Amino acid sequence: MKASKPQLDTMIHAPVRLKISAVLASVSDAEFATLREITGVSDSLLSKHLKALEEAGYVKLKKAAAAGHVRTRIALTRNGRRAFGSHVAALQELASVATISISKSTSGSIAKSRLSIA
Amino acid sequence: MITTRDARASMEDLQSVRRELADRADCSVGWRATMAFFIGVAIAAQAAPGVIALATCIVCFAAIGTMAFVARNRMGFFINGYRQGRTRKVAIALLAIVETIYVISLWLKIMQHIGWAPIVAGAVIVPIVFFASYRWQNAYRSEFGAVDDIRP
Repeated sequence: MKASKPQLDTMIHAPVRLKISAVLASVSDAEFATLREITGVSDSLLSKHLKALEEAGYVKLKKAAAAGHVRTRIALTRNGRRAFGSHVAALQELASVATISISKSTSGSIAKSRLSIA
Repeated sequence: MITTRDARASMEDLQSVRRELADRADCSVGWRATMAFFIGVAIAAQAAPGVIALATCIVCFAAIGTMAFVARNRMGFFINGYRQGRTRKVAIALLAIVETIYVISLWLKIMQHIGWAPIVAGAVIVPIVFFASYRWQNAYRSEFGAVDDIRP
C-alpha cells in the first residue's frame, strides 16, 4: 500500500497546538496541568486550544477523580496522531528543502499542502 | 505561506518540547528497584504451593499497578511501555527474556523437580528488569534528542 503524502495541517500548526500535539504524541495521555507547564500558557488559553483540537477530533478529554482532585487527562485520538505525524513529516520535508503554501481545504480546517522549491 | 524558516522554527519548538518531556519522564532509583523487586518476587513465588504462589502474584501485580498509578500522578503523564519507537525493542526484548526465564524455571520445577528454580529465576530477573528500565528510558530520551544517558 502506498504511504500518503505528508500534509501540513492548519489546526496543528499554531505554535501552542503544535506543542500540545508534540507532548501528546509522545505519551499515552497527559494531565491538563502538565500541558500548561510545558506549553507555558494560561489555563484559559490552553482550554481554548484543547477545545479547538477536540472539535477537530484530534484529542479526547477525560476527567478522573484522584486523591480528592478532579484531574483532566488528555490524549491524542487516532486521527490526531495521524495528522500530527503527517504534519511533522511535512515540516521536516519543508525545513530541509522548500517553502510551502497552505490552502484551506473546502471540507474543513485540514489544509492541503503544495510544495514549491524556493 | 510557511517558509523554510518557519518550518525550522517549528521543528526547534518540537525538539525543545520533546526534550523537556524526556527530562520529566524520570523515575527514582528506589522506584525502579522496587518495581524490579515485585516482578522478581512474582516469579520467585512460583516455588511456593499453588495458593500461596497465586496470592503472592496478586499482591505483587497490585503493587506494580499502584506504583504505575503513583508515577503517573507524580509525572502528570503516562507512557505505554510498548509504545512505538526505539523503546519498543527494549520492552519486547525484556518481555522475551523474563518470559523465557520464567518458563525455564517452571519447567525445572515441574519436570525436573527442582523446587527452588523459580527463586533463582526471580533473583536473576530483578537486576535484569532494573537495568532494562534504564535502557528503556535512555532509548526514550535519545528518541527525543536528549544528549546524555541516565545511569543508576
